[in-house]
Amino acid sequence: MPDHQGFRAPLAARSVILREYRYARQRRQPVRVNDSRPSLTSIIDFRNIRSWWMRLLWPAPRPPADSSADVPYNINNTDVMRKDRELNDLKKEIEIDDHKVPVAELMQRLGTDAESGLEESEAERRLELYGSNELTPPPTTPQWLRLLRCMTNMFANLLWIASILCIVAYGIDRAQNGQYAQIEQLILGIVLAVVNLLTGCFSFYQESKSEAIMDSFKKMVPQHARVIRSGVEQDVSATDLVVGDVIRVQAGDRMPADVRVLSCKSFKVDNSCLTGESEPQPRSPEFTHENPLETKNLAFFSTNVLEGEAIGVVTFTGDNTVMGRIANLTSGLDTGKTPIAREIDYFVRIITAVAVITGLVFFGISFAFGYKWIQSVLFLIGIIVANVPEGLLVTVTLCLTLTAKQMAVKNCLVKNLEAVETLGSTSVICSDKTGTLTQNRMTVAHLWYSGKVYNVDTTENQSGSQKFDVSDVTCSALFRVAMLCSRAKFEANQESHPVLRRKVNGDASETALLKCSELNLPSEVKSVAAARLKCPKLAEIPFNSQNKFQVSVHRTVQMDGEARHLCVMKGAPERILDRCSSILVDGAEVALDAKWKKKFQDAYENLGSLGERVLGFCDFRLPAKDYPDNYKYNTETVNFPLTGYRFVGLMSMIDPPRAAVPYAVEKCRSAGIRVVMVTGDHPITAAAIARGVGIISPNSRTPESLAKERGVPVESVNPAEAEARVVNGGQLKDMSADELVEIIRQHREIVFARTSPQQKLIIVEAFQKLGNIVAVTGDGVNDSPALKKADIGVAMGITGSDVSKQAADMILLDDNFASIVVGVEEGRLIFDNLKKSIAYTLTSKVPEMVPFIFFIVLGLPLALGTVHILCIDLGTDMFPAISFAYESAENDIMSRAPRNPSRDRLVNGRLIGMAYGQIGMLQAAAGWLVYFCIMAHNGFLPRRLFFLREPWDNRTEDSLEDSFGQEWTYNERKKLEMSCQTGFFIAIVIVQWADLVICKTRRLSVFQQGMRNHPMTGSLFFETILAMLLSYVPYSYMVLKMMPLKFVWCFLPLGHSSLIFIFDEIRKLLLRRLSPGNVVERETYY
Amino acid sequence: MTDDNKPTCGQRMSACGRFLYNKDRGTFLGRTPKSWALITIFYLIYYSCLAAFFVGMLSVLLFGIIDDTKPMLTGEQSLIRMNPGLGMRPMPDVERTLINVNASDQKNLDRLVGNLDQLVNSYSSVNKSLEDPNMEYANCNLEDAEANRDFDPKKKICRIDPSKHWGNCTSANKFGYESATPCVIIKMNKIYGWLPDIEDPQLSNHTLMRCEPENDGDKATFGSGSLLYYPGVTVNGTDYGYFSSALFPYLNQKGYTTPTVAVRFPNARRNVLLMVSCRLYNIKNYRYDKMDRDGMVRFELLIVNTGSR
Repeated sequence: MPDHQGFRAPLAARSVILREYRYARQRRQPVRVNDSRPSLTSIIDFRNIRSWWMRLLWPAPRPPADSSADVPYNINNTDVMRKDRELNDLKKEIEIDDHKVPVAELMQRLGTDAESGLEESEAERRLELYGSNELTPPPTTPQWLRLLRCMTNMFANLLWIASILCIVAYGIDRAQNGQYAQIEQLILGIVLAVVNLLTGCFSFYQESKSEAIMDSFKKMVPQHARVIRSGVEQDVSATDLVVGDVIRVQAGDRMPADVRVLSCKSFKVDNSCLTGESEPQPRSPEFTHENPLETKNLAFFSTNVLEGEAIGVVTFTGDNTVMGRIANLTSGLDTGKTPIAREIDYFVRIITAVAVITGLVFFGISFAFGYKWIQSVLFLIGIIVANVPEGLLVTVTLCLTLTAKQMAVKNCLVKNLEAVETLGSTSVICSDKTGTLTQNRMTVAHLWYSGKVYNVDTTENQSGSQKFDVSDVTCSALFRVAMLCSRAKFEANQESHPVLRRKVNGDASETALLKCSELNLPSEVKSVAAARLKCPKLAEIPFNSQNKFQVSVHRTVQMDGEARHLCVMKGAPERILDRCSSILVDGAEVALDAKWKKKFQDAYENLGSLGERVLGFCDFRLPAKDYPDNYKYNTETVNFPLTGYRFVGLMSMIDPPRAAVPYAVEKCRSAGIRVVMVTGDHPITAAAIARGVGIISPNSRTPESLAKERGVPVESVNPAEAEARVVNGGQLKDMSADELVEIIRQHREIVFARTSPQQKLIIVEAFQKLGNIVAVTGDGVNDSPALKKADIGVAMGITGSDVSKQAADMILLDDNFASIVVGVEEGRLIFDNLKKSIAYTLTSKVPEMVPFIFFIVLGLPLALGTVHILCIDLGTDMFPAISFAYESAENDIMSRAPRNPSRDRLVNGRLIGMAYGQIGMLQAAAGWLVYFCIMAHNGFLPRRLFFLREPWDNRTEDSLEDSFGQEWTYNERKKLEMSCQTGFFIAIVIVQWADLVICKTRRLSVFQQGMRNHPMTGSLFFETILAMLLSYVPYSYMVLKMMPLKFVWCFLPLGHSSLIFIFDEIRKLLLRRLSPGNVVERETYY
Repeated sequence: MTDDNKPTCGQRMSACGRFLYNKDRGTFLGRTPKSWALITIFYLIYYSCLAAFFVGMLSVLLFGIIDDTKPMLTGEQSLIRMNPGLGMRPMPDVERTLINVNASDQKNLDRLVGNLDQLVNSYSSVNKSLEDPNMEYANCNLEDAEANRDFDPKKKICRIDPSKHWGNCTSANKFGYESATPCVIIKMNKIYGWLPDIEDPQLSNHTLMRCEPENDGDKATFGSGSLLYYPGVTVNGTDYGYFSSALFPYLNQKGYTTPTVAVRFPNARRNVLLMVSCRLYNIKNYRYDKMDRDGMVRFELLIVNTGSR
């Protein structure tokens, strides 16, 4: 890209700025760049990055060509803008050239020396100046702020407002009526506040608990690094490393910083946590690739050293490392609200609207009735407050908690309570491949020998274990080569572990071979180690990238006791074949002719197309007379043959899918959830695994397979014709956001391969743009931005990196993708059950509110006091409402599509209509029946009661006449009123029995659903006993304003109770029987 | 959600507008007029049925079993219990129990006297319709309850002539309010079927009533001499008013008038707020609780010195 070269600063100047940058972010200050120098923006300009890998896909402004582009970084002074800039900057990648410049120049730039390292004093100075080498932990909110947040969600705010209104109302009342002011208002206000505080503390406690579990994940093992300072090699804490330090790492270490390799010996690192590639990456001092992540001379912070050792110079530390940048990108992302939080917001809006509208209507009415305005305001407040379901916040929190607990038992740890439901709403799962779908462990998947392909069991528990017929000469020869030509060995003292669980020293492919051999030993051999002992190694040429083979010579003892030497070789199949002149077929050695070469080629391609890594194996029995037992082998001059070998077979390896994954993917699919693979691995491997687990279903075609079918090049196939598609990062970077969205729309099955962390983020955003609720699973650092951005990020508990766990909302403790299905199921169930619980709770709002309205409009003495409303909302209704969390699903919730967040609301008009308009009114009628009965039986016939409010509540009125001329003093009237209120209360409890039963199901009859929810049945009894206690315990009238009732009055509401039950059963019968989409369903199916 | 997914204010407004009236689908507030009509009809029918059910249940539970003239629950079954409360007049302002006697404030006096006159009138109107043939109007001997034995209690009503019953607390002399010797009428609440259970017939055959200062220390404020009760008796040297046993029981007889006693404050101290509480004596079936204000009446009396005396 020569046109961009103009923006690049001269090398020397750039190095200065780079250094500035290198340190500046550590200091957490904007870089101030002198105007005469090129600006930082031009250096960060992503267009300069030639590699697609590091490219940022988001269209970014092209840097202006004039010098006005050279503005200092901190020209935008506002913090917000700076924060945005910083985040955008993180989304891009800084171009580094530390891997390109000659070592000497780099050393000069870093002010260090390759031999003696930094001066001790200089290292100290830098440490002090630029801070220690560790990632800044994500900004933790202070405890009190988190507590505050728990108490100020949308719902809590509604309660706070209600509470304040109550206290204000009491204040007005008090100012007007002095000591006779209604103390209930104040009590209600205080109770609301207390409920709010308690609920807040409760969810705070819940959150802290999962936080504590999170903390336990952090492995606080202090890391050490071997550093050369002032020419002396010493051990220092990894956090004390500074830029310019020369360090030594070896197999088993974790890279303590980003390092340029100066010298090394068979150095291999595992980059899977950064890139998702499961293969070990060799590293060497040569500069091999423009792309920092691909070049061999850089090793990155937090990757593991698998093999060899190296000396390198630290180029970046702490937050400036590649890993640090991803972590910072992650913590800078804004996540937005969970779907359930959005639903609750919507619900609160509905409730507020209902409350305010009824409040205002009756405010107007009371005004029209000639009440004083201040009285009307009190009524207004009263109605609004009566409309607030005080207990619902607690109920919802508890329901979510119970579900979270159930999920934790099933190995889904939920970090954020609200995330419990999110999986249920999820419509797309973007899954990482390595470690999530696969076992993150190379395993031999296929063998090819004697012209046939054999499958190898790749399951974790060797469930389908079939041993190979190692008595077959060819097969045993193949395993012999695999066993001998290898440097991998089991670590000591692991005999008790299953083979697959044992730890191995060695690279991934050799480990796979070793384990496969160990599992398929011939009966006379006890272990691979024993076999190797029998055939001691005499010489070895290790694998190198030029030869692409590995060969070793072993002393073997023939049947006749004669010692003969055997050369065994493995390597890239085509290279191996070149060195062979014969091939072992069914125990007989035949010439390697064109026919066999063709067979080999087919098998090689076939296995390669499965995304597997193929190795060829051959051997050569050295003639005893030329190579006697004491023959001295020289691997430098190679005094033994390397051609003319006998080809024995191929072995192919793959990181196999976990056993439970295909089933889980299938389940997700039938639940209407798209499973998309987003991986950093190669497209072919990714596609093979995707086919293996069902992400691409067997009969879907990709453009590639279409092309193959038709025998045309891929370019001439219209991708839209294919059901499935594999998109790699290279294609992705050339796409606009709209094109990406188009692809997502067109293809049902998509695999994204070779994606960078930033691209994963963009894919998630594209899905979200289409209105999807996206779950992301992943374990690596490279997944964490996507995990954070997703509606629900699911991290892996065992293999997951700390950064990914931090970013996630849910953690699969067993790393099993199948646990996600559990999460989906539980999430959907809790959504349904919350619906039911809310329907149940809201219904009793009507009988709670109507007394107050009739009090105002019809002047009926108050039929239900504030205290009683609280007794219902926070007492008797509470446990039944919570018990809905245990309700089992009505039908197969895993066979329906995920809910549409814009249409399938938690609380909708139909639910409100049912709760308020129909069942609620029935309940209110039951309450009034009891009220009028108690009044009438004591002497106040209904007609006497209308518009009696004023004398009734007049304290000085000591002789109010009833319908029979009896005169009631204030106290006697109040006792009667309390009895009526108790009756009303009991009536609500009794009609709520029926409501509980009808809310159990939304479609099925309760006779179909059954009453197997024991907590719910228990809560029925509990509620009844509680109600009885409240009304029958002596002196409860002093606190709760309840009076013991005549027993017959308690039975009066049973009629309405059964009416509710019958009405709803008929409704549900119609709902089921009429054709789908019938009027009953349209109007009442909440 | 990213910011660009958030609806702008304008979008919200137009969405709201679409909700109010959607031209394409012809819906108001989310429903077509037909749908609105149907849902209204449904609710009309539903609520009518509900109302019918309610009224049906109520009629069975109330009018089916409740007598027209007799409360269903009486005596100890009723919440009013056998616990007569007391009331007092005049109380022109229903919110206050303060009787402010200020002879120079004619308007105030008129209100007080007018309030008492109402009571007198209610008695008079009953007395006027004496000719009702269904009732036996007894010329009860109030002083001697035994003398009234022969009457059927269901039909017995004692005729009370307020011009005599309350002594010289009469409408004619403005119940003493002009002369700053105010009368306060204490009335005993009607309770169906209540009969006085006399504690000590030796003292009196009637329910006794006496008013005292709320606080014992205020005794002096009542002035020299005691209060005057009409009708009154003196038992063991203490003055009481009495509710004649002949007046009970109350059985919702037509024309039954509330038993009353007039209390006169002849010498009460001026310009001092008298806190008066009155209660019953000499009966067993009566509960008195000062804290709960059960079985008593309490009022404040302020006689403003007009300088005439």
